[in-house]
Amino acid sequence: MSKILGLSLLLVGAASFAFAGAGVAVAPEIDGASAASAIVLLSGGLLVLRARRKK
Amino acid sequence: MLCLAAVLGIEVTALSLRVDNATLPPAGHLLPLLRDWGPAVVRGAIAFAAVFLTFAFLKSRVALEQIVLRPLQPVWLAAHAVAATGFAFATMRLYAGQLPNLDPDLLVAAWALTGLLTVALAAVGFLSLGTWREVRSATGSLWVVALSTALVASFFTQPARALWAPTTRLTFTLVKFMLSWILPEATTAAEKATIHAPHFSVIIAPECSGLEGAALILVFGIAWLWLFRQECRFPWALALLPLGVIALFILNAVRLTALVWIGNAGAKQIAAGGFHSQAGWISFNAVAFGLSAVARRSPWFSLRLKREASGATEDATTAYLVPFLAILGVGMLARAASSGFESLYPLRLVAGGAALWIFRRSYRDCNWRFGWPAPVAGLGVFVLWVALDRLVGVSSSSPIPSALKAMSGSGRILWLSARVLAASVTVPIAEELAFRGYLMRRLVAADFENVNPRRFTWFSLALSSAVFGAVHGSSWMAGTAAGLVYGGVYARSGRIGDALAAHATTNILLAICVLVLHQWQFW
Repeated sequence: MSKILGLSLLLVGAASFAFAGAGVAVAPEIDGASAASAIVLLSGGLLVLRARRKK
Repeated sequence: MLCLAAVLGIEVTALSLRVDNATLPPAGHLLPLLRDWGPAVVRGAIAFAAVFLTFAFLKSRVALEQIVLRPLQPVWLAAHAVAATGFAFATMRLYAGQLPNLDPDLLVAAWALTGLLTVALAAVGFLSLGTWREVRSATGSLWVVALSTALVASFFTQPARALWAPTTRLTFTLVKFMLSWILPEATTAAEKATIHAPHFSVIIAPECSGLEGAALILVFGIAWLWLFRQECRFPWALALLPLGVIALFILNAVRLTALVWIGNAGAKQIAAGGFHSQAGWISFNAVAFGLSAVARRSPWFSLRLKREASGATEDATTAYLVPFLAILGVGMLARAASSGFESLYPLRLVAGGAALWIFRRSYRDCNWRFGWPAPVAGLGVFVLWVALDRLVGVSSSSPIPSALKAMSGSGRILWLSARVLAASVTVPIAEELAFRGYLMRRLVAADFENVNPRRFTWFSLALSSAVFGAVHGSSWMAGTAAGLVYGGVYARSGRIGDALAAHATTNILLAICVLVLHQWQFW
């Protein structure tokens, strides 16, 4: 859990570079407006992926 | 430390929304420097904060939790408020070019010192100097690593842009090749990286070249391999890094090809609207999730399969998270197929409802009862939401009314019914299960199902609310405040039903506000 949270935090930091430095592209590859939802979706998916424990 | 980060984050965000680097007047020596290097300094600060907070959280959390916090220092906080007000005023004047008749370099130096003083006053207002020394001791040399990353992030991005030209050429060639199969009548102009289809044209700008996604997946891959290194089979697992970069690079070319194809097919607004803003993230998520799944489940890359030869069982995480993730994921796909107005919104209702139905047996132990304070709290959140909307003024004109007018009568009724039903039923249930039922308790202990909701920590309440706010886009401030209230309601009674009743009340009142008063910005 804490590793996934850490990973998300790093992604938020790294993703902010992508759109902070972006120019006026009409179709940027990484759109800042969707960043939060996308990273939450990925983090949630990873939590589900790792949500297995030994019997 | 979280409060300090939140206060400084809110202040910087509020200020950055009001100023534009391009409007700085070219006077003196320091103003041009500020214009050229200001963004690099901001990037460095973000990198420092991201690296320091991440690794302090992962490596030194136990040591940090043992530090005894002293009470807040109201005098320093008041001084911070005064300095912050002065700094905000000076920033607005500086960026608007309204400088008094003094040496501009002196003014910029005074402005920068005021900014540093503002941050320092907040730092000692929330945590005493002694506490900062303890933080420094608990985190060791982490600040050196974070500072090195910040310097690289600040000064390496400019040389890295030299890679934009070759990657743009490569992406252009890939898109040209793909289009030759599906749209052979398209023509290209390599010198301007332009593609002309009969009814739609695009220029492959450097920001679309695939470099951003490649860098992001590299950060993700390296962090994943480092964090879960004990599960990975090295050196084979290192192959996942180039595989991820290549996969995302190809998917970016597919995205641009699809953009041309969709635009040429007549859906120009969808191509330039929802598709471009969502497709990049959908690709990134698909590759990052696929990479993680392969790293975890493939015997070539994972050591875990041998260790866990005995059976494993799912815990309730899946049941608590999947309904919310289904709504979020389907929402991304629906927005990708929209031109501003999300005509496929009813799919969110279907996805959320289906996921809740599939996992319905897992919710038997949840306490769904609620008392009268919950709807009252929901009413309070509604008032707060409307007030913040008026105060912050992030509302913009909504495309919903004109799109609804263009729909048939039955289509309009179907869309509005699905929107109201989702807002009042499936979304509150899915979000309360995910944020209060799961995240708020999971941040207290790994075995979240056995955590009494009343045993919350300020950290679990604050972080779950902040993430809840983040998924509410431009209404993040209202969303975070709502998360704090719903979390408080949940912690007070210990029943998920109370948080759900509060959340549903807010959403129903907002829906009434939209339908009766035509305040479409709340949707």
